[in-house]
Amino acid sequence: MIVAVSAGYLGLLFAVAYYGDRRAAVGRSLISNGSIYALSLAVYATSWTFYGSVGRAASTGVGFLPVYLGPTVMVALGWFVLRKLIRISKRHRITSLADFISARYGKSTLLGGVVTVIAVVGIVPYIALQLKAVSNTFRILRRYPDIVSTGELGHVPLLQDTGFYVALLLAAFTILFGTRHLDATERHEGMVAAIAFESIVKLVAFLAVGAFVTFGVFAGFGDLFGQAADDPDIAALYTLTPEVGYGGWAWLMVLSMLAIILLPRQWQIAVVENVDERHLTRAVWLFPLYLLAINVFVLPIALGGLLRFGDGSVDTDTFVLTLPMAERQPALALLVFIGGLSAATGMVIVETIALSTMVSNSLVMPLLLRSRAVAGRANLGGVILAIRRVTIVAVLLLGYGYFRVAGEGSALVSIGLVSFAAVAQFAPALLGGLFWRGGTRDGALAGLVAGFTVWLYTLLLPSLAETGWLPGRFVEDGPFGIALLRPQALFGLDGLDPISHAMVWSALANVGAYVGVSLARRVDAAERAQAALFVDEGADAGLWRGSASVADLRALLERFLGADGARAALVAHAQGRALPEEADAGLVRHVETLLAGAVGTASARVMVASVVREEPLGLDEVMEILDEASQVRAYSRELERKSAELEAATAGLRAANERLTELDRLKDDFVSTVTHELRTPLTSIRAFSEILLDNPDLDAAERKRYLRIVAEETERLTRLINQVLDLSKLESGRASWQIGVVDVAGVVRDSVAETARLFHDAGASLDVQLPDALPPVAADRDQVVQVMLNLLSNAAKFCPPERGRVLVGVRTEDSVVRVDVTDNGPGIAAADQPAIFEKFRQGGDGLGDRPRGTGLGLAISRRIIDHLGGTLWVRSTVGQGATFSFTLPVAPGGEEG
Amino acid sequence: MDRPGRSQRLVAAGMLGFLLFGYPLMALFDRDTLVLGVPLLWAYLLVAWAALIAVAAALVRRSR
Repeated sequence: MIVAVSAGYLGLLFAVAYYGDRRAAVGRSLISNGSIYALSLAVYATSWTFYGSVGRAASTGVGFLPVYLGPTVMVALGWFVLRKLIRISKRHRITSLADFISARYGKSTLLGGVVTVIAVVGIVPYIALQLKAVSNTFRILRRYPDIVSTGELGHVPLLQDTGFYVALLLAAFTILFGTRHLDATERHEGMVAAIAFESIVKLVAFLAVGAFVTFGVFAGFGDLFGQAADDPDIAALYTLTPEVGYGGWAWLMVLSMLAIILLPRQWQIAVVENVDERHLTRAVWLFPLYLLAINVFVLPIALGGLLRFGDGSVDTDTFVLTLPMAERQPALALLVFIGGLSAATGMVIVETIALSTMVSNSLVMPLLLRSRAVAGRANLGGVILAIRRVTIVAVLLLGYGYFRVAGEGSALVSIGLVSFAAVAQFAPALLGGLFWRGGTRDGALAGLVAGFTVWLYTLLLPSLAETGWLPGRFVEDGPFGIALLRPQALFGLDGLDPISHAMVWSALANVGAYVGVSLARRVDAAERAQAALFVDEGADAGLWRGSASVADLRALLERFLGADGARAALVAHAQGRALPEEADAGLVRHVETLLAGAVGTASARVMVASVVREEPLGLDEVMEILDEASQVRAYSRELERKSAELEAATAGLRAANERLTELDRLKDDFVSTVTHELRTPLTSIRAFSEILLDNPDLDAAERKRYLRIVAEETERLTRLINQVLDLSKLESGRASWQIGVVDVAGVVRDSVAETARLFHDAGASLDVQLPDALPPVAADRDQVVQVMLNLLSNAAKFCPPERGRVLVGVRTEDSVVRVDVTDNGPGIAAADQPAIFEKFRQGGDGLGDRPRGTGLGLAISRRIIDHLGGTLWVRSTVGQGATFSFTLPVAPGGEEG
Repeated sequence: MDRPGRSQRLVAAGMLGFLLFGYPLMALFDRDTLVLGVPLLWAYLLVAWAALIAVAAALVRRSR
């Protein structure tokens, strides 16, 4: 009867899976909705939940809850983590946890292998737990109406053990729906549909028995808790028992938070089998709701069991089944058994699929690819499937073997927690890899190995010791009697429950090694590129260099996906364009990603590398790229500097240009002024000459007056031309200088004498103050005379008529002789002072007046004095006259002379 | 496609859960008394759990 119903149930499961696959094949996915996704996530609730929670509740009260509260918190807290995992996995076709960690750390095969080994070692006891639950409950149910404890069941021969057949049947199911074909996405829709179906079955069964115990056996919650409260032993369960404590509680929360992502079956369902990341949003509340529902009746059933079987004759782990049996409800008991069966099978199926993917892609394929014989085979797809099938059978038999030899004694929950603690070792490498760019392959490897070693020593060995495989003294006294090394109180740390104790030490070792080694070593280029891909979740880094022919890539794909699959994949990538002969980096990556889905990222990298003439991107090249970048930076800095220089030069040029324009304008002015200056006397000369010519009968006095004007104007013209010539000689530097020792006093006296007539005509007085002794200066005497004449004639010209007073002073100053010519003329406005030294500029507005000079005198004088190494300047206030001064350097050796 | 606030709100909800299901808030209800006939701690945990689920559901619904 039981066998028939069980077989019927499993048959139904096959049917559901088959239907799911069929629907997927025709493109109408059965599982593509958030509710199915959430239900399939409930594969988390295994027979450990179904039977074990009650057992734990019977000894620790609410102490079983953290295992379900953790996931509730995690799907909210870690929602974005999960989403990131899903996105990255989809983009890179990552199909297992081992693959993910390996891919994150530079597609390291070694790392993938280590993760796989840890996962298998850690999960086998968990699978054993499921088989044990099925086997024991089957045997208990078969004794109906007797109720026996598991201890009384005794040992059954292998061939009579239901667990064994269940294991084989599950292997068949998993192979059928888990490894039907090789698919790049590695998704199994039928299997997921079956899992979701099983989640409903186990929930219904558990709620049924819970309701039956609460409302059938007892009269509701009040009655049940009231009765239990009367028993002080049971009432102790109403509060958090000291066995758990807040520390243990928190550790259990953390452990289960990690487990909900890191358990291979959870990864498979949550990440790999995820159809659409939007389904996560429903899972955020539906999955916790499922867990809440399946846990509501755990404590009532435990209390009911304790009340019903107060003598301890019945194993608390079996209360769920034995209570209906004791109440003579065979149908309900059968339903419970089916529920437990569904919880166990769901877990085993998904877990073995996940493990088989890991083993084939991260452990066996990398090894096989090293041997030429296998690497050369035409169709590797078959090989992979075979590896997976063998792995599934092997894992199940391993689990069964563990159950047969070691699993008899331990409570369900403690085995499960040992597995939780094992997969929790992946957390630093995975979460660190997701969010910390600096995490390295060596760091991850060191962390995993360290954490796993501590786990082995503090959890697995003691649990083996419990079964008698190791001497119990090993745990109680420590190896070789060294108390400090006791596995459950390492280095004297006692007072914690074994799980907390193991978590403290393994987390310390794992995180410490991961961070420490990561920080200590440099990262190579490929790893850094991968790290960026995962942490930033961005596009490809573009650090690939190489070339490959499309034909080679096609041949490679054909070996795994078959000819049709390969063609379809390449055509899809080409998107209507013709395929080139040489593949570009994008196509190579595409092929690698496709292969990654089938054989894992590390193996795919090896396969592609075999046909691609990839120029490995070594540290040198990366440095080169970095160098290029820094060179570019240097160039740009140089460019900036250059551009600044250019701007300065431009500003200079602009200034020079302005000066040139100004000079040009001045030259034009000069020419037009000179022309004008020349024309004025010429006009007079011509006019008077014509008068003389046309009027021969002009009287003698008149004629004489005209002739004098002509002579004067000619003289003025000559002077003007001489000055222009002087100026042009001075400016072009062609003037001839006869530098000699010059006596300034003599020059002054000569000049005064020469201009005495001018002053006399102007009615001005001229005083000269000459010191007794003057040192001689080095100069050209004629030029200095010209300067003096200019200054004196200017002074005479600008003196007020009849009241003019001009003073000439000479004195010695330091190593120069200074000459001042002071007049009492109208003075020169400060704004005009610089201008009067320019050519053809004269003081005052100059307009209207007849110019009283050529306008070249001061310009020439300044150039002369400048050339002689002296200075010529003016000090003046409007209305108070002006003082023109110049200095000349004293001749060498002439001082005091 | 997601409003930026959603994942942050969910993180906040998760932290709230961590608070609700940990020391010291839990210790307030860790008493050996029956409320409406059921143990106080058990009732607290289930109610807080349900409330947390409701909050999470409301967050993902509202930001849809």
